[in-house]
Amino acid sequence: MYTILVCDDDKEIVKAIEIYLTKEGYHVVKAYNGREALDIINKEEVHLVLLDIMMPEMDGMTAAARIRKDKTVPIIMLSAKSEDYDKIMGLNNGADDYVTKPFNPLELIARVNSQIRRYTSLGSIHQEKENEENVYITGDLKINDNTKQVTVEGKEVKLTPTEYNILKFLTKNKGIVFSIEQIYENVWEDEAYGAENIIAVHIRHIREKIEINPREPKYLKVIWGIGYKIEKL
Amino acid sequence: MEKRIENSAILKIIAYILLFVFVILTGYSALGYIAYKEMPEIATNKPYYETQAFADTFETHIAINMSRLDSFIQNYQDYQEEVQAVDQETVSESSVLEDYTYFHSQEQSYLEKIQNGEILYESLYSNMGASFRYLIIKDNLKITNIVQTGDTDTVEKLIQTIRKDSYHWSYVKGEVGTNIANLEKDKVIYDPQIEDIIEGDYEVYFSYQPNTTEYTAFERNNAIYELIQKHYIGYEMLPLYAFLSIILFVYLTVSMGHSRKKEEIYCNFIDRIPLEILLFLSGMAVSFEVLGLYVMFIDISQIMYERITIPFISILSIIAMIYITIMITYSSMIRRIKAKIFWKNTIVYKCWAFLKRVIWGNITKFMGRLSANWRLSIYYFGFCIISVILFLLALDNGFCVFLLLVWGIWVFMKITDHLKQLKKIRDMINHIYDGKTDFLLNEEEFKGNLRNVAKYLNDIAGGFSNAIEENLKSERMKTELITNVSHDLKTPLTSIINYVDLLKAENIENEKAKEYIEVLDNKSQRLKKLTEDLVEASKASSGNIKLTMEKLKVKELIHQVTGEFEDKFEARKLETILSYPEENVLILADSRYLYRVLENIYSNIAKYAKEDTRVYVDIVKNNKKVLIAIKNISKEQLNISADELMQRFVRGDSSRNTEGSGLGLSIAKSLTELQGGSFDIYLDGDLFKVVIEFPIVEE
Repeated sequence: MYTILVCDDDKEIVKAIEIYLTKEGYHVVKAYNGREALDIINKEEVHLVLLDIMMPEMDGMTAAARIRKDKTVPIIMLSAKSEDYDKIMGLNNGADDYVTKPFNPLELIARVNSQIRRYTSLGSIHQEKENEENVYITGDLKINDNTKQVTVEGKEVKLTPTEYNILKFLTKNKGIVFSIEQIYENVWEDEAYGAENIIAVHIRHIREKIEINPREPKYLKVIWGIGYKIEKL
Repeated sequence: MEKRIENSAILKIIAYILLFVFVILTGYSALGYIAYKEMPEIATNKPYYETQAFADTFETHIAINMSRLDSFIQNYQDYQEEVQAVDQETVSESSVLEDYTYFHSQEQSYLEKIQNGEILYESLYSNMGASFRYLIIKDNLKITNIVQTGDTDTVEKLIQTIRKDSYHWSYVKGEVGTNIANLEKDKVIYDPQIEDIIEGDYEVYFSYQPNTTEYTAFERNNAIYELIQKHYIGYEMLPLYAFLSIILFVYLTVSMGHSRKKEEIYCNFIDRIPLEILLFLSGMAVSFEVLGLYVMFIDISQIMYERITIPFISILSIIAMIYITIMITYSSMIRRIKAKIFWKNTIVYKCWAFLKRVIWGNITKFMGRLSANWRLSIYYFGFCIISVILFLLALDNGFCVFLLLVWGIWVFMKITDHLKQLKKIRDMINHIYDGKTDFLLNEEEFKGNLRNVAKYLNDIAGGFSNAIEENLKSERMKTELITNVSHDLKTPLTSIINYVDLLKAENIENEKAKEYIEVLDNKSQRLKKLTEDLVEASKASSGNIKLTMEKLKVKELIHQVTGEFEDKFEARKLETILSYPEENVLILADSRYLYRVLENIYSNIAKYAKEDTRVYVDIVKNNKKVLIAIKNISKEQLNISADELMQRFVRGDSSRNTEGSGLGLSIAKSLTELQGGSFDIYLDGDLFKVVIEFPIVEE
């Protein structure tokens, strides 16, 4: 059983998160400011930290930086501050993810699961580089062209053949931006006349399947007015 | 400011002293040069009596005495002829007596002496005193200025006496005998003054015995010669002295007015004296000093004969005084020029400025009180009068033609200048009208009333820009406030959403309770959306957003967005009809924020479009712009104007029951405008049309 430290000065929020996480089978320890969180981390084994930013005594930014000094435990920032600047600050201070309040409980749980999986099985996935033939990997997204299987963080994702082909093509060429036309020509090997919308719809569907939050995709990025790409992670 | 060594006072004083020394040396060398050209022997140890100058003077005296004695002899011979004529009764005795009074009075002794061959001891015609002696013999005539003694009673003795003198010269029957260097025979006898006389069978003897007690030209020249010889220092160094003097002078001129401590030109009390007074005073001073020098030189000429040395210190001090006076005046003038007060600090200028202030000032004051029409009339009347006068004068005067021309050009320039100023003011008004308030007029460029106008305009522009700045500041503060408030709202909202969600998961049997929970869920989600949109709307409308502009393909963007909303549209049976030009059309925008714009429009359509209708999205290339027109049919009746729709918190349905914050279109409009595009809404019955316009950019 994995232990998760939830730290927020709002006790009701901590309580609600506890309920969600306990349901998911996690053990939850609670803290109400940065100092308490640090004390707990030094005493107990913690597998993930959920950290609010604005807290009395010691704020989340400072706490995150202190934790990062000698711990590799994943940290998810949880804050009402939603400016780009705040997110960048959080990630720079050692956070692995940033969730803005008010959050969708399902999304929060998905992100917690993702981080836990990465942290506990660290190495196994990463060692599994593109050493096999016809296997394409970026971050925790893996496409095995031999078995036609797509997995995200080890979980299999069901894709239609068209979606699969598009994702395979983009993952094969990760980091490169392709316009709808280019994707069409490469996947269908045909002129893209009149089919542009279909690609966009497919991309939308793929995102809904592989991303935790399709509006803020991690793998399949939309560059509006230019094209799509699979992020090189 | 670095302290510049070349401006230090000590260095300057040294330079002033050195300049004085070198100027004196230059002048002294120059005098030496002149003296050398006159008498080259001063550079040697030769005494005066061995110089060319002495020989020349001696020769001059021979010439003078010869011609005088000759005329005496001629007169005597004429007298004798006249006397014979009286004897032959051809002329009257009285006329002879009148013409030759002198001989007549001496007649007896002279005639007797001459007829007896006796010597005439006659010094009447010598201007050289006893030291310069002569003996002239012609036929019976023997004349000398030597005093008759026992040693000089015969011609032989006289000749011996003359030959005993230090310097002598004689001419006897074509033979010259002399002991004077540089006095050649030819030089004397071919002197045009003497040539004829000497040819006339004369025996001539001249001699000079230096005698310091007697004042003669020789003695004077000798004294001057010895004086110069004693103090002669050569002239070889003259160019060096002159060069050094010039260098020092230039250095002093350049450094005048600068000091080590101050950056600007400094002026002392002398520079505050009006120029004319300064020049008058220094002129007076120099005149007195020169007078003093002159007096001193007269004195020196007295002293010279008594063989006393020149009082150098006195002369030097007077020259130093002249030098100081001139340098004070000169440096003051240079400082005035450098400080640009040369003309300002003159009595003439002050008088002129006073007159200008009083007369011109009153005229302008008077003109200023008149109305513009009157002023214009006076100007025009004056222009006409002067023109007519000049024209009439120009009819028969060339200079007045020129004046007329100048007058015409001057008036033309004045008018164009005025028009230029007016144009600048007009431009400024345009700037202010366009809201470009950072542009200011240079008030110095304007004259008269226009200067006030320029000043007022600048003030207005300043006021505007202040107001705009204030406005921006308050907008920023508003955004900050909204951001903070929304942050504070979000924390309790998080709990509400979470606990509503937890409540939903509870096993509740009561149907009503379930219904209420559903309402809570909806409203809390809307509240969430509202807080997010509120921040965004406030940021977008105040321009508090950092944009990353890049070139985007319009067609690609529309395809992407349409694809994103395909499912939502399908759920409401909306069909999208796209039309676009074949070629790629590029615009410059921030892709994230432009998506936000389109997202808002599309989600509006997904919410408010009538089910089972078509949505038209047209991309139209229009000259240098691209239009994105999105049309749909509204589900509800739109009892509202397009402008109102774009205002914050206004929605097409007045019930406010459906989801959405009412900020969507307002945000879309603000974001589009921030990116340099335009955003318009057109309503026609139930037709709802959004038109976004962006300038096209090249690939």
